[in-house]
Amino acid sequence: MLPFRFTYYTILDIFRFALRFIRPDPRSRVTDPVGDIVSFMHSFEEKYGRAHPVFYQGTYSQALSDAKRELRFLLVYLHGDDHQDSDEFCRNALCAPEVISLINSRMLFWACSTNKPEGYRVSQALRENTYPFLAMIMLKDRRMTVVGRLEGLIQPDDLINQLTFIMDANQTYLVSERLEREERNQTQVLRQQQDEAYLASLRADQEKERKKREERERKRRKEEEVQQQKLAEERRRQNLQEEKERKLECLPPEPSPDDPDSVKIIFKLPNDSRVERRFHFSQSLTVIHDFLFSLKESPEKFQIEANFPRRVLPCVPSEEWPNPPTLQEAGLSHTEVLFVQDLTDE
Amino acid sequence: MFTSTGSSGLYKAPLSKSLLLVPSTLSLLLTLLLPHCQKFFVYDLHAVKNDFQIWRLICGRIICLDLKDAFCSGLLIYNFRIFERRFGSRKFASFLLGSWVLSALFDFILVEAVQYLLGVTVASNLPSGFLAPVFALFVPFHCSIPRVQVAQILGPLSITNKTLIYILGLQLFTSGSYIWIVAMSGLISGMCYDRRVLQVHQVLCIPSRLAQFFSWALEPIFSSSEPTSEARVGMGATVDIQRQQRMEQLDRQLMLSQFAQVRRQRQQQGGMINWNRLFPPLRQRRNINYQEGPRSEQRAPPPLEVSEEQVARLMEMGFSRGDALEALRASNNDLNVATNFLLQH
Repeated sequence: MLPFRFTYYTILDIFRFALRFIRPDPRSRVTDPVGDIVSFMHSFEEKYGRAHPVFYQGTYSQALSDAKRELRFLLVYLHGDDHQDSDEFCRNALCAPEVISLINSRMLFWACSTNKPEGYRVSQALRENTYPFLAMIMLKDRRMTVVGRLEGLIQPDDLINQLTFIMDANQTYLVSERLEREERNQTQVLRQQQDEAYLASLRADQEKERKKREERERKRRKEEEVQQQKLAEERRRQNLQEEKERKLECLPPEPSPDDPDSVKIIFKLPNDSRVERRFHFSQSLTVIHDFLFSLKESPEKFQIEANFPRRVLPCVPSEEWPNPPTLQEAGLSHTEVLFVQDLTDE
Repeated sequence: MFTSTGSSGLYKAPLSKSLLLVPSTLSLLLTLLLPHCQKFFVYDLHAVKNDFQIWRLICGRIICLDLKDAFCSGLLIYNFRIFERRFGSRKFASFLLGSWVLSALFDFILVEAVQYLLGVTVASNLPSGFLAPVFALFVPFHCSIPRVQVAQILGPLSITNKTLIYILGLQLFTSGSYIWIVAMSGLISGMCYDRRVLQVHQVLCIPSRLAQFFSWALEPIFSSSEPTSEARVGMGATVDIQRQQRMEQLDRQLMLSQFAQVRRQRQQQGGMINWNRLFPPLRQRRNINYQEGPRSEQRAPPPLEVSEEQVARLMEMGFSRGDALEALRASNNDLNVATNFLLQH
């Protein structure tokens, strides 16, 4: 492996050495368009003074976007550092007061040197043949178009005349574009108002619909409530009927009339009807209550009263009588008349 | 891929046009029709030094006697017409004159140095022609023209807008045995003039009056009319930039596609990563050897996998299946780039 390794590392070293010439520091290849323009502005001011048109501080794309949005002319100046006429042009023509006022008042001015990557890119796009080079760009047929080119050395008066001529020749396009944009804005405002009116009427309709729906809902809920009450009443009555049948089945048999330990009781119901039955002395008062409860004519809630002395018989368990007494304990004789009092309404 | 600034042709470049036409015509005349007159245009420093034939410094350094050198220098002069547009005709002429004169001096120095160091007498074998100023123009070419990356090869190498010009210069550099002496003198004189060493640019320059006279006298002959085929006014302000960005994006997609393909091949091979990355020709040769091995059934490399969904979508647009497959393979499975690819071709 040693000869292979020696050969490999030797070739690798030679390759790296050669690569150092072919490929410089990668950081130097990072392009900074705004930095190019700012550095050009500084070098221009150092060389020709501060009397110059206002430079647009941004990239070429930004300048085009601003000119399109503001509907203005964009004057692009590509500066050739090495050209024999650049100095004369910058001192005499570009820094003349009349030229400065014309450019500052009526157009955007973007400039860069063609020795910088950003300027070189624009140079490739505009394809100028000589320097100094000025290009007038504006929005025309919905496209940023070069509408004028000035190549070579030019005097201030000629520069003003040519720029004015180019602007006058193409002013109609800007005016029509501006009118079209205003019309588009008005149409947009009108459509927006119509949309707002439609939304307002839609909201009113929705509100009306909501109220109607609430009313219908309330009515339906009331009917449902009535239905529920009917069902509850029906269910309660059915339960009562079942309860009566169940207690009737649980009653003990009736003793015979000749039984000495039995008692004959005559019940007077609230509806003036009379019921007779014999009960055993040893039976509890609960049996009497159950017998009465199982009758169809008896009310739901009732109490049993006895005369001589007048008293209420404790037929159901209560605090005073946990276990109801028997008939004998209650003091009932052989024949008794008991009165049933209706407590349902109370 | 040339550095195309301005319009094609020689508009506003009269000096470049004259440098192209006059020496080329004279070279053709001397080579084809008047071979017996070539001895007057031989660049012979030995004769200059011993026989005091000073006129050879002028005649021997204007016309190329080798048609290959004439062709290469013509191409370079045509490309360097951008410097006449950047400098202006007078400044350009001054640069050429200064580098021409300085390179004569450096030719003498280099010939003496080589004779002293290596003992080789090359004074009688220097190539003739307008070569030194052509090489001198590489100095502003290297310094003034920014590099715009056009394409990128796998790895760190990249092709810029200046690569082809350098290759052409290298071709001219290696066309003869001793042309490197003229090339070195040209480069040194170009650097001296460009860096304003010893105020050479003020001494060896063409006066304004002389420039105006020549402009008045010769410009009607050598000036080119403005090309009307190219739309000067009315062109879009960003059309070229957009086209360039689209080309860059397409090149990036192609590079990614090739990179994915190379990675897939590397996974099949296994090791030798460094060799494959550093030496692409060896990878090609190794692939050939590998394919001729026992696994002959894998002779054709597996194609890049394209998703059938995107193929179906492209076929719905109306393209054929073969075209859709080719476009998706070229664009590394990017539907938008593939659509643009198919629409443009």
